This record gives sequence, structure tokens and C-alpha cells, in this order.
Amino acid sequence: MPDHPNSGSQRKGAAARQAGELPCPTVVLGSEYLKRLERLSLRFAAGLERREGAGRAGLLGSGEEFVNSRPYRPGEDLRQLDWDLLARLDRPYIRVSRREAAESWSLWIDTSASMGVGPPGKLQMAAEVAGGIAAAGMQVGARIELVAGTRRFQARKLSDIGQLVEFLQNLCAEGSEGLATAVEESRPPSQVGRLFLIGDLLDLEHKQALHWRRPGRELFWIQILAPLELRPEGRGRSHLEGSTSQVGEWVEWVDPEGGERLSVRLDGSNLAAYESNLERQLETWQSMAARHGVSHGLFSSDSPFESAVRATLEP
Amino acid sequence: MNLEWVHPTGLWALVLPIVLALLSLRRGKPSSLHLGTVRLWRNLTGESEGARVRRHLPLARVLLIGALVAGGLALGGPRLKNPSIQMTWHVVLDTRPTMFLEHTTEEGVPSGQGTRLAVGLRALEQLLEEQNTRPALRWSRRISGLTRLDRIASERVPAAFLVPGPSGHARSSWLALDEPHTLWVSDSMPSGSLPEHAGVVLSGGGPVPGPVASVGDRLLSMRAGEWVEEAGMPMRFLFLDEGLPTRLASFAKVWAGERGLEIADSDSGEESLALRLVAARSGSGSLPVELFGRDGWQASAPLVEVGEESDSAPRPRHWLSAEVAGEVWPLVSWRPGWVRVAFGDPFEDRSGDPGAFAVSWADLLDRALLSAPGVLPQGERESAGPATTRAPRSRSFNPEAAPGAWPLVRWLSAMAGVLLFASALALKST
Repeated sequence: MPDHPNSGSQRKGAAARQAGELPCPTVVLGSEYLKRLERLSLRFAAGLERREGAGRAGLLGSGEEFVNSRPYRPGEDLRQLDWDLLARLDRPYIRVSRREAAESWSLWIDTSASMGVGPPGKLQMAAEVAGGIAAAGMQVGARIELVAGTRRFQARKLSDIGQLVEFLQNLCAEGSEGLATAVEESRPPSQVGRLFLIGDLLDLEHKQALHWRRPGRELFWIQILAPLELRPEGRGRSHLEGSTSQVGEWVEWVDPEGGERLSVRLDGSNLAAYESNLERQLETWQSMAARHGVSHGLFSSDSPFESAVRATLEP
Repeated sequence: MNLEWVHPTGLWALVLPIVLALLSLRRGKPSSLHLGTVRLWRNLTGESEGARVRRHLPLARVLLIGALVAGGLALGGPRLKNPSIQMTWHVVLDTRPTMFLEHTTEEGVPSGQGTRLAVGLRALEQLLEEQNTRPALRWSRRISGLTRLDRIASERVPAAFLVPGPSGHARSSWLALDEPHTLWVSDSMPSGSLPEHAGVVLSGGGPVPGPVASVGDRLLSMRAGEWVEEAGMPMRFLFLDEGLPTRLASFAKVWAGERGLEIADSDSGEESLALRLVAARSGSGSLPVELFGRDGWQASAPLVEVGEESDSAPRPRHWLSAEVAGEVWPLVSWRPGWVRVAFGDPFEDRSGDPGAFAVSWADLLDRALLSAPGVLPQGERESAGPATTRAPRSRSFNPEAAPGAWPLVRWLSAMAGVLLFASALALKST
């Protein structure tokens, strides 16, 4: 459930005022999105049936491998009780299998001001992707936790999808506290089997991004950049102004979080140097993900959210 | 920088580059876009933000604006000011009696403004007030056709200058004073046309009726355009010194009779003495006889050595000289009201032409004869024409001749040309 159900519109307005000139600080999820979300959800349900019929754990993990323990809650199946821990600690603990862990998904969405860059806005794309992943998770019976800054939402049943969309609609890009702050100050529940970091990951060090890695937990880095950031000389600007930018034109970049302004000329050498820098950054993320068994995907905010969801959950 | 502009209106041309720069800056303002990857851009060139912002304007346009600015400044004609803060004017004051006549209208009616001199001095004061910086003044005066370069430093006219000198002067001699920073103060234009460099303050004024000549006790005046002869003039005298050559003294008596003058035995120093004809005295005795002459006559007489001239009296002019042992000895010297003869008897006329001797000496005595009180030559009583005032030229009046003037303009023009060329090259290269 949303933590502050009544304060969404107020927060949105304040964020818009704070962001001032941020091009895309808010999220709009209309009826068209709900239809696409439903289609995506059904697609995952069908895929699940096919995989289970074929005897594969697929999305749900291997099932019998114990990866963790958690305190016993009344009413739980005593067959899962960890007798060793009970004997040693004299307190009941439940052994958590990979299957159970995989059924607890945590999605962390970056809502710092840099996510308001676009169009299309990176936060908009992040919200759409988070909604898609959450819907897919609920389809397979996973517990879903959405975290955006200080706000949290939990859902398990498909009937919660309406509240989930409302939670996502109330997100606003503001401030400078992104995923790096969340990693430093928060901690996901230990039973979370799948952890999704959704944002531009620009403020995040690799070490921080790996901070929540645990045995039996799958980590997903979903990196979203705006077309302007991926292709500053071409379609990026054409999206904004309806015309292609000219090489040699001056542009003033504004850092949404620090407020720094930087005037640069979009000439050949500058563009090549920037693209080289960006490519090097992205390659580092990819190599780090490969080395540590993290699933990493880079998506442009103008790409359909379904493709990002599929690329993430259907490796 | 101590600059002044020869053509300040040319500076309006600077409006063009200013407008161009404003338009360029307005157009050249870059699109402002939010970007999450600013950090990646920041490390690209390593330049400061300010440096990059300046380059918003295309190089060709910056150079063009620079060329227009340099050209606009050149059109203004900048030059370095003269280092002197205060100028000094040399005022040459005309002190002929005509300057002390009452100023009149063209109809000969007193204008009520005082003398021509007073009118001229007031005009001078006004001219001084009109200057940005009131010039310092040095005063000289013209007496009897000569300029005494006293160069007395004073803000006001020296009191000694307010005394009328003798009549008559050579007008063309003013031209020797046609210099920058020099100001002539008179009643009318001495040379007939305005001087090239010197300034003028002319009081002007209409004709002034009054006596123009005297013979004996009779005065000849011009009144209402007609000549009027009047009696009642006090008798005037010619003083003849004892040591004069006999022949010369006899001629002087005849000349005095013709001019209506009585002969005086003693030099009383009174105003009634119209002329003093004195003999030079020498304690060392007479020198050998020498032959001398002029104007067609020739004579011989023993010379008398003349001592040093006194500085108190106006310096006399030499009318007749002789060369003795390689030195020039003055034999006859004169100034208005005074003639000195430096030879004695026996005086012998060697030319055999008494007419030439008489004409020559009568001319000298006539020139030295003082006018009767109130009598002025007809020329000095005539209309002086309109009043005129013009400041003197500055030494750096001509911009082309002014030191340090055109080098600045040339530099700016050359800079404008180079920048224009560079602008064209930059435009071509882009």
C-alpha cells in the first residue's frame, strides 16, 4: 500500500515547482498503459505455464535449494522449521528456499532530479518498467515491494495493480538523493530474492550497486538514459525541439541536481569525445555486471517499456 | 588616458557594432537543456566555463564587431590632449589716441559704452569667459607704430597701458604678430583682413567728430560731414637749443613760422611745447669733421659723441647716421616731440641744393611735431567699422599637424582593416 496516499498530488506540485525547468519531472500512466500492462502480464502468465509444464523452474528459481533463514511466523508450515537453529539459538527460524526467496521482489526506483531529463522522461520510463516487472511478479505470485526515495509500496495480489499504478503516478523527479543515498541509508529485507535497481545509475558507484548482493539473490541493474544523453547530436534534440540539431551549434547543459551549467559546442570532436566517454562508462557497467552475475540492461527512455521488461525477465 | 576627439559625431558609428553584438548575443544564446551526463561533458575540453561561454559568438562575428569598433573609434578622430592645462595668450593692445575716443554709433552719436578701448576690453573679458579654461594673459602694447613686447603677466590690463600714445602707426606691422595664442585688441582690423593665426578683439565704432589739424591758434574740425575752421587754439612753442648749428636753427625758425609755432628760449616741459630741438652735449670735445647727408643733400660738420641712451624715455629712432672708425654714430635722432642733433658748427652744406635740405628736414620736424591737444589725424576719427571678436588659434588647431593626433587614428584604421580581413578569413574557413 502507498505510505502517503493523500499526499501524492501535493508532492507532485511541489516537485514541479522545485524542479522548475525540468522537462519531465512527473509520471503519467494513462489507460493505454494499463492495457499494455495487462497484455504484458498475460504474456508472462502464459510463459509461466509453458515453463512449469516443461518441468523448469524458470522465473521462479530451482525451488528446493535453501538459501536463507528467517524468524518463524505463527501458522507457518513446521516442516520448513530450521531445527539446527532452534537447537542452537532456542528460537524458531524458517528455512527459506530459493523458490520462496524468488517470490519476494524489491524494485528500487531512482527519483532524483536527473530522472526528470527527457523527453521522454527517464522517470516515466522507470515507472513504466517498474509497473511491468511488478505486474509480472504478481502474476507468478511474488510479493512486490516498490521503493522510491522514502516512499514504499507493497503488493502481492493482482488486484493491487490499481494502487500500484497510482503509487507510480505520484512519483516525481526531485532532489539529489538517488539510488546511491538509498544504498547508503537503507537495506532491503533479507528474504528478497530479486532486487531491481531502476534508474540512470549515474550517481551510483559500482561498489554501491553491488552492495545488496547476497547469496541466493538475483540483482538487476536497469539503466535508463534519455535519447538526449545517448545521442546529443541527433534524435535527442529532435525530440525536444522538433528539428534536428546542427553540428557546431552551442548548447548549454544544465545539471538537474547540482545546477551546474556548462556551455559546449556540439562539434565533431566534442561529440566523439562524449560518445567515447559514455561508451566507456556503459562498458564498465556491463563488464561489472557480467563479472558479478548481475543482470544489466541499458534502455533509452524512448523505447517501449515492454521490451525492457522482457529483456530483464526473459534472459 | 588624456584623449580628445576631433570629430565626436563620428563616434555614433559605434552604435552599429553595439547593436550587432546585442543581436548576436541574443541569437547566440545557446539552448539550455537538462542532462544527467553533464559530468561526462565537463571533462572534455578542460576549459573554464567562462571561456566556453565567450565562444558562443562565432569568431568571424567577434572579429567583425572588433573591426567596426576600431573603425568607429577612428571616425571619432582621437588624439592625445596637449599636456598643458592652461594656455597663455599674448594680448597686444593698441594704445593710439583713437582707442581713447568715445565709442559712437555709425551716425557718429555716442553709444554710451565709454571709449573704444573700454568696449574692446569688455569684449576681451567676455571672450576669456567663454573659454573652457581661462587663459593666462601677457600684455604688450603698440605705441607710435611700434610694438613694445612688454609681455607683462597680468589678469587685467596694466594701468600703464591706459595712457594714449602718439598718433599714427604702420598698420601692416601688425602682421608680424600673426601667431597662435596671440590676440590683437584694437578698434579696427589693422591689416584689412583677419589674421590667420592671431585672434582679434575689435571694438569697432562710428566716426568721431573733432579737430583733425591745427595751425597756429586755429583748429580744423570735421563736424556733420563738413569742415569747420575755429579760432582760439592756445599758442604752442618750438624749443631751440643753444648748441644747434646756426644754419639748422635758422631753418627751424622758418619752419616754426610756417606751422604757427612760437620760439621758446627755455625748455619749460609744459604741454604748450610742440617740439624740442636739442643739441647733443659731449664732455670729450668735438671730433673731426665728417661728411654726411641724406635725401639728396650733403654736409660736413664736427660730430659730437652721444652717451648711453636713457631707458626711462621711449627709445629714439635714428634719422641720420655716420660711420666713424667702423662704428655707426647717430647724428640725428628723434621721437615724438623731440629731435636731437649730434653735430655742431661749422656746418657747411656741400650739396648746393638748399631745397633738398629744407624738404628733408621739414619732413623730419613734421613727423616729430606733437599734435595739439584734442587733435587727431582724420584717419583716426573715421569709422572703425563693426565690432569683431575671434579667439586665437591654438598651436594644435590643425589636426593633421597636431602631434600624436593621426598616429592613433592610423592605428585604429589599420586594426579595423586587419580585423575585417581576419573576419572574412574566419567566415570562409567555417
